[in-house]
Order: sequence, then structure tokens, then C-alpha cells
Amino acid sequence: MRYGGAELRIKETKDKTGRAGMDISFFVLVMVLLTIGVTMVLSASFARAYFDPGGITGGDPVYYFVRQFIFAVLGVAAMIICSRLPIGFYKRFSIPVLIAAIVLLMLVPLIGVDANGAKRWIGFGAFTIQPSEIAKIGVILSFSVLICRNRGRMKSFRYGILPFAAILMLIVALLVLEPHFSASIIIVAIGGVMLFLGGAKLVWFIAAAVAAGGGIAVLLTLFPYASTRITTWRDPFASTSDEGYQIVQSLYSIGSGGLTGLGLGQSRQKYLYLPEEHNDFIFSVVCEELGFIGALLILTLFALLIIRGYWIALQAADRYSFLVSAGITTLLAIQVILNVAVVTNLVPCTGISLPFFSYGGTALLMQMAEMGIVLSVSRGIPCRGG
Amino acid sequence: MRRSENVNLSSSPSRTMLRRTLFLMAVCGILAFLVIAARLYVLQIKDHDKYEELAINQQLRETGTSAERGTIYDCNMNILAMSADVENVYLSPAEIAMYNEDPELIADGLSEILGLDRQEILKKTENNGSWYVTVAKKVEKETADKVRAFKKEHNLKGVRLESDTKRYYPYSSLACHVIGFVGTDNFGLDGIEAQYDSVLCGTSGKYMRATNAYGTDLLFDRYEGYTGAENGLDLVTTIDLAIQHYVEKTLYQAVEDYDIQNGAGAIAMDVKTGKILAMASIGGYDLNNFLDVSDEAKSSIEQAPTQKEKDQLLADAQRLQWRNKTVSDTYEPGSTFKIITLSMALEEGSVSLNDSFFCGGSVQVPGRTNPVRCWKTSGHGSQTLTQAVQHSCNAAFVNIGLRVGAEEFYKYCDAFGFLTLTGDSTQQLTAKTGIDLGGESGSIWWSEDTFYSEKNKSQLAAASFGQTFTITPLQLITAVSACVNGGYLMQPYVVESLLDSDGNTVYNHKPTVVRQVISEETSKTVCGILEQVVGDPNDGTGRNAAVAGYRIGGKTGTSEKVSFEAQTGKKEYIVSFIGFAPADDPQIAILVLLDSPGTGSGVYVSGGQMAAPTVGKMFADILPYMGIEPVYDDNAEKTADKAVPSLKGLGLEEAKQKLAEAGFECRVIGGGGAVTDQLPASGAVIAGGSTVILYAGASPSPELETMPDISGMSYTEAAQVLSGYGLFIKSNTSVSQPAAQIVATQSVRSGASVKHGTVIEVTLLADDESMLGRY
Repeated sequence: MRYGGAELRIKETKDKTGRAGMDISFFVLVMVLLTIGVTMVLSASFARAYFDPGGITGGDPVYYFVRQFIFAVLGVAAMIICSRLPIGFYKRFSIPVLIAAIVLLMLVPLIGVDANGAKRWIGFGAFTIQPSEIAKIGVILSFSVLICRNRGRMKSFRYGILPFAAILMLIVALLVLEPHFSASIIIVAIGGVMLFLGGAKLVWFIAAAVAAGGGIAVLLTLFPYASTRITTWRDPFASTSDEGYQIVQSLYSIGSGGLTGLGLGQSRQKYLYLPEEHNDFIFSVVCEELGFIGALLILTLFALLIIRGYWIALQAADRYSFLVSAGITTLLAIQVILNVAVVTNLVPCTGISLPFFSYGGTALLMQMAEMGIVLSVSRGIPCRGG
Repeated sequence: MRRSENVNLSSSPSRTMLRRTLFLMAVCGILAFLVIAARLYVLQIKDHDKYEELAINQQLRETGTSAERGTIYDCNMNILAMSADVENVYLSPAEIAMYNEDPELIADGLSEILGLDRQEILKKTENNGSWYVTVAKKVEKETADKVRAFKKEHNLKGVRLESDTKRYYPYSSLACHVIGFVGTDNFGLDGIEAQYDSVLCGTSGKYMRATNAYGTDLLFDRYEGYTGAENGLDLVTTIDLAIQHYVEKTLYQAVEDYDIQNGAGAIAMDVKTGKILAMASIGGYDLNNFLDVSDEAKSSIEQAPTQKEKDQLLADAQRLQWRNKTVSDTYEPGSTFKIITLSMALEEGSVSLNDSFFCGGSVQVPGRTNPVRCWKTSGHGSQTLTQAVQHSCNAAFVNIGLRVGAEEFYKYCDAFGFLTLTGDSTQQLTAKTGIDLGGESGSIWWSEDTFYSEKNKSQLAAASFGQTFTITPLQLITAVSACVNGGYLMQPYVVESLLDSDGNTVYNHKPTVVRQVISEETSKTVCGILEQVVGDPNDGTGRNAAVAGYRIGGKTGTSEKVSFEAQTGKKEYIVSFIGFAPADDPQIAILVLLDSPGTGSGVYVSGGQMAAPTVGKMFADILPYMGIEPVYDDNAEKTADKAVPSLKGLGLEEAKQKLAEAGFECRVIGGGGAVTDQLPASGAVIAGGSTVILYAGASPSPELETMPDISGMSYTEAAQVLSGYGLFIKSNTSVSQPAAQIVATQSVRSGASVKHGTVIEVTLLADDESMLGRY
């Protein structure tokens, strides 16, 4: 076969001689982080579930934990299934996933579920999904395909920038309608990283950075809720807004953790002081309970996972696999870094969940599936010994 | 599709791609995490203490154990102020919404139990962002129990109760200006409650516990600390409830009798110690509802056109009723101050009992164009020193003051606590007694330069009879007490001792001698002279204060409100009297001042006609209460008030004999041999020598009599008239000259229906011409 390398290798998986198999380090790191994450959901959500100020749990202290645990089990299954699927499968569905994501995003304003003044979810019976989550993986998969197709033309504006920019703008426009500021940032960032990896000229990134600066300025003036976030960020203690309260409570949690923390399960801030404690601000509880040492340990695990993800990408058998795994790894990295940066008030407050930790079934399922894709790539790595 | 897939799959990542991946790996895998780690280091290690403290501050609640506020007692351990447990009822609208509780049900239930407006409660349930909306504060336990039962019955989480304490004042308005009151936060705002707040309130205990953001306990109590509450100390005042009661009762009566326009004040002081036995100021108010103003004030507030004016009027009325006139108001004392001038002159030897003073109705003073007039424009003629005081002769006292000299005069005023001499001779002078009550005003005196002027002695002349300076009533009674107690200026005080919760005395106020101002001998002389002012039924201008059987000394005062007149052009007076008893061994002094008597009473406006009988009545009640036995001479013994013995059922002869022994005459109605009824009833106190009616087989006529008008009649005449109606007379003031003293007030107004046998209490006035004057 002319381009038989990959197919050859796919065949070879069957006799298990020429492939490296699933990357165990990556798998173990995911499982460890997931285990810690689910445990932390139990610890962090316990108080809110028990006191139940929102009238959701009916006072069942393990309400959130049980649900997260079920999704974690499903997630592990999803990861294993995804890791078993050949990379060609993803490639075939790359563009359809993107189209599906865009369609869903268009449906959000029509049939979306309203929460806190924003429509971000679509409900299917008991399930709700965030189309923005699908859009993220859709962008990674589709951009990877497009970059491969435009090989050699990536340095041109017409092929290397224009189609990608068009897709991103469409998605961002739809996200702004919701509005969903943080998802827009992540989608733009991940899109940019894909182009960066795909070999687009660096000058475009400089131009994009300038444009982004202008764009943010426009966004801040158009959406007052965004600009108050900036002032809140600069001095959360002086702010009376909800975000200010969140950040202050988050800083109290993190700061009172100290070197060794109050001990697992011993957070006091989770007793309804810290909003979103099992969600976007779960890392604050981690810092409070496990201290500086525990937080660093978990961050190290994340860093190792990310480095391992890039390592898999670097080893990937082909350009598509490379792009997909590097993209997913970067998405993971962006979410982890932004989440922690938000809870420590390094960047202005915006709702970004912490992968494997934050409560949320479908998001966890998506993340685990994405990890499965990376593992699938790792399966394709040519065996050096062989 | 298939083709492109193959194309792409075949190609490996380019070098650029790999290089850029390594860059991302460095940034996203290492660099970003280093930045985050640095940030965490700052938050968790460097600023750890700061955040921990802030977090703990919000997590810990202090609850449970508020200290109990101490009780305030009078000197006989009667409770004047006490705290009782009550509860506050509040709503948690957030929880009402959260648990889908029915606001209508809550509003219905609470409005019924608490007697509040249903709509208002309903409105309070709507604020569902809040966890605390007060419905009723300081609810009594019974009512709170009803709320609790209602809450339990319907399992309402949004209806809540919390404990609080409430201050009760069992005697409502009695001694209100001394006791003072506390605000809703139990913080003392006035009187002793304010002055001794830190002692009374104690230290609240801290029951520290970690709570969740809504204030309920954590699931696992990790943080708990407890420091016991230290209850406030109990406080024993020098106030004697009985004396306070007599003083207030009589003072209120005087305000009514003499048509007093601008309130009144009275102080009773233990002259030997400086203890305040009673202190009253009118208008008073109910300590339990200290914000409520009098009906009169309410109606004028009603008439105010705007809300702002209404608020202003209400605030003014409240301030006015809370004001303790005897401590916070200063006035020109007038003639009562002559006691001070007399004392210093005697002590300095400037005058002696044998000196003679001539009064021609006025006296020339250097520096004054017009001569100083005596109140008696025809003049008192030649008088002894005692007579000069008895007459309250201004001309004589100008003379005495000039003899003392300005510098000596001020030296004594300083010693008596009226002013404090400073080095600065150009400065107005002032002083306070330093009593342990808030709101004390300072006196105002001319500067030394003005007062000492050789050319112009008008200030000294006027000061000699108590004008051109202002002092507080408290300063006057404190100084007069020194004049009569052997010369010792005592520090006045209202708090006797402090007790801990076991009743142990932790502090005891010992009487403090500030200084001895005059000698014991001089003091005795002063007492002797002042006793003549009251006790001499012919010459004493204070004779209306006399009480049969007691030796009372004192001095009248009538002061024009000069600055008030300058402002308004209206002439108003403060009439006053300061008395002490017993004159041979003074124990108690009473000062009464009545501010601005109206003309409605028909009584001549002067201290002698209005304030003196008021003080006399107070002594008549207080001296027996204090255990001071009256000593009657033979004549007084006969007419002194006595209780009628019980005669019912006795044989007629036996009853007659018993009556005669008790000092009463008798008249028999009916032909029976035994007494079936009597008028007045046994135990009634009437004037000795009155005729008691005995019924033998007959009954008193059930008909009612119409009370005759006896005011203006002499005592003898009045007694006769009353007995014709089957009524009895009892005088509140001393009956020294029954034919000359006239009835000023009667306890039953004329025209009212009275039963046979009723005892009519009257006030007598010496009303001859010698008494009519502003002295």
C-alpha cells in the first residue's frame, strides 16, 4: 500500500508485536487524578448537600458524590472505549462532530436551559449537556483534519488562517449569544494553539494578540458584567459583587490551608461560605484541606499528565494523531491552569471547571473520553523495540 | 475522503510542529505551574496568618451567654431596675422560600399571637434574600412560648426566636431621673444606668463555635471555646424609695396646686453624708416606656403640620422629660443663698448675733445708680441679725455681703463648691459637685476682676442675696447641708455600694468630706437662726413650712428669671424653699423649687407661700418615716393629728372614755347603750380635739354631702364648717395660729360629693400682709 504505514500498524495491533500499547503512565495519572477528584467532590460537597440551602439534595450528604462517582465509572468506561477505537475513526467523524457542535450551539438560544441569566445547557431528558464542551473537542478534531489537508499551505493566509478563523468566529459568536465568556476564551485559545501547532506563521499570532486585545476591550465595554469582573479582580476585598465574595472566600480557603492544610474533610470554608465549592472552586477546598503540600502534589500530577500528553503527541505516528493529542493535552492544560489561576485570583474570575475534580457529569464524561482519545493515540505509537 | 485520509496519515509531524510542541510543553507543563506554585506559596505560606484570621473571624460565632445586667436597688434593697429574660421573634424569609412555607399562614399566626399588623408581617416574608427580619423585639416569655408552639405545630423553619433581656422598672416613673434607662441594646442611656453602665453590664461570656455561613453549627465541631459570662454587679443606691415617693407625691401635688408652668425639682439629702435620699424632677416619665411623652406633648405634636416638625417636637419633648432639673439646670437661687452669706459672715466674724441692721426699703451700693431695693419697699426698720434672716431682708444682706468683702466672699463660694478659683482673674468661674450622675451642669459666676471691683460693688451686693450668678439646685443643697451639719462640705452621691451575684459587697461608698468650710459652732448658730425662720409664727417668712412637733429650719427663695425676662419680656419666677430637720441635730435637708407658677392658683407667687408649705408637707411625711419622734408642747399636743381608736361594739361609756383619752371630743347619735358605728372610721387620722360621732343603735346617714368651699377660711372656721357637714379636717401643715392661718388647698374640691366621715386634708397658709413679698 502506498500509504500503508498506518494501516499496517493497525493490522499489527492485532498481533501485538509492533505497537507500544496504551500509555500506562498517562492512564495511571488520569486514574489517580480522577480518584482524588471524586474524593474531593465528596469532601467539598458534603456540607452543601447536607444543609441543602438550594433545596436540591433533600439533605442527602452524599448526593453530589454519588452522582459524580457514577459518572466517574462511566467516564472510565468511556475512556477505555475511546482508547480502543482506532484513530481513523476519530478522523472520519472530526468534521461531523464540529458541525454537530455548531448545530447544538445554534439550538441553545431556542431550547436551552436558563441558569443565572445565561443559556448554556441543552437538556435531553434527565441529561443536560453543554454544547460548548462538544465544540471544544470539535475544534480540536476538525482543525487537525483541516491542518493535515492544508499541509504545505498552512503558511498562507487563505488556507492557513481564513477557514479556521471563520469557524472560530462562528462558534464565538454563538457562545457570546449565551453568553459564555470563559468557553469563548478557551475555544479561541485552543483554536489558536492548533494553528500554532499546525505551522501557521507566527506573525498571525502577533496580529491575533493585538486583535484579541482590541476584542477584549470591545467585549468589556459591550458586556458590563465582564468589566466589573476586572475591577473585582484587582481588589476583590473592596468588591460587593458575587464574584468579589467568591474570590474573597476562595482566598480565605486557600490561605487558611497553610503548609499542611486542615486535613481531608476538615475544610471550614465549605460550610456554605465558599460558593461553588464542589464546582469551579473545588481547588480552594483542596488547598484548604490538603495545604500547600497537597496542592503542589496535585498540581504536579497535572503537570506530569500534561507533559506526558505532549510526549505522546511527540511520539505520535502521524500528523493527525499528533495534532489531536497535542490539542487535547493543551485543552486540559488551559482548563487546569485557568481554573487554578481564577481561584487564586491570578486572573479575573470566570467560570472554568477543574478537570477530574469539578462536579459535573457530562463534562467529566467528555474529559474522560478525550483522555481516551489521547490513549488511543498512544496505542498507535510505533514500538521502538519492535 | 479516503484518499486525503491516507495522505494525512502517511505524514509525520514537521520539525516546526515538534519544536512548537516542545515550546507548549515548557509553557503549559512547567512554566505556568511554577507561576501557580509561586502564587500558592504567597497565599498559603506567606499570607497564611492573615487569611486564616479573616476566615476564622467569619467562621466563629459568639453566642449564648450574654452577661446579666445588674439589679438596681434602693437603700432598703427594694428593686428599682431589674432585667428579665425575653425573646425576639424574627423571620428568615430565605428559609420560608426555601422550604416553601406559607407566608399567609405565618402572617396569620404571628399577627394573632403578637398582635401585630398582618400585612406588615406578610411584607416581611417577601424579602427572601434575607435570613433575619425582626418581627417583634423583647417579647415576654408567655407570648414567646405561644410563638414556639405555633412554629412547632406547623414545623416552620422560617419563624425563629432568640433570647434577649429586657429592663423592668417596677416603680415606672419613680426616681426616673436618677435611675435612667437602657436602650434596646441594653446599653445604659441615662441616669445611673448610663453612669454605671460598665459596672452593671458585666462582661458577656464568649461561647465561640465554628458555624456555617448561615450561623448553624458545623457537622463536626472542631473549633470551640468558652469563656464564662461575668454578670454585672448589683447596685445599691442611696435613694430611699419611701422618701422618694413622699417627695414626688408632694411635688406633683404642688405643681397642680400652684399651676406650675415649667416643671419642678426636689432633692432630699442626708446632710451628714451627702447621700441623695430622693431626687425628683417634673415632668417625669415612665422608665418602662421612656420614649413616650406626656399626653399634652402628644397633642401639640399632633397639631404640627409637617412630619419633620413632628419629629422635632417629639425629640424636644423627650429631651425635656429626660432632663434632670436638679442637676442639669442652673438658676439664680435668690434668697435661699442668704444661708451661705450668713454662714460666711458669721464664720469670718463680720457679723454677730447682737448686730443690728436697719432697712429703709433700699440701700445704696457703690457703682450703682439705683439703690438696691428690699422686697419690702416700706422697709423692715431696725432688726437683729436673726430678724434680718427671718425677714429675708435684702438691705441687711447687702450690708452683710459688703462687710464680708468680695475676695472673702469668693473664697467661701469656692470652699462651698459653688465655683473654683483659677489663676486667671478675667475668666468666668464655674464648678460642679462631681456627683456620680451624668449631665451635671456647672455654675456661672462673674470673673474675679468684675466681682472684686472696688468702684462697682453691685455684683457683690446682688450676690449677697443670691442674684447675678447661677448654680444648680444640687450645689445649693450640698452647700446648705455643709452650713448646718457642722460645717463639712460632703461629696454628694447616689450609689451606695456594689454587690456581686453572691451578694458580697465589692465596693462601698464611704461619705467623703471635701473640706470643712465653717466651724461647728458657726454651724450651730446658723441652724438656730434658720429654725427661727420657720419656727417663729410671727416673724418667720418660712413659717408655712412648719410641722407640728418638729424643729425645722429653712429659708425661702423667690428668684426672677432674669435672662428669661430679657429674652421674652415676660416676668417669671422660680420659687424655692430649702429646709432641714431636726434643727438641733440636722439629718435631712430638702430643697424644692417650682419653676414659673401661674396665676391660676390664686396663691401669692413666692417661695414662702408655695415652696415652703410643699417642703413642710414632705417633712410631715418623711420625718416620722425616718423614725424621728415628734415632740409636742402642751398646746400643740392637743391639736396634733391623731388616729381615731376603734370603738365599735364598746359600751357607750367605755367608748367615751377611750375617746377622751385619745384626745377627741364626741357626739352621740341614737339611744342605744353600745356603739354600733362611728365616724370617722377607726384608724383615720384627724386633728386632735375634733368631735368624733358615735352611733348607738343608729347608723350614719347614707346620704352624700356636697363639699363646701372652705378655701380662704381660717382653720378654725373651716373646721367648724366641715363638722357641720359631718366631715373632718386634717391639716398637712402645722397649725400654729388656727385663727390666722387660712386654708389654701383642700383635698376634695368644692362641689364634689363626699360621704359622711370623710377626712378632708387641707394646707394652711400664713397669709398676713407680712408674708406677701418676693423673698
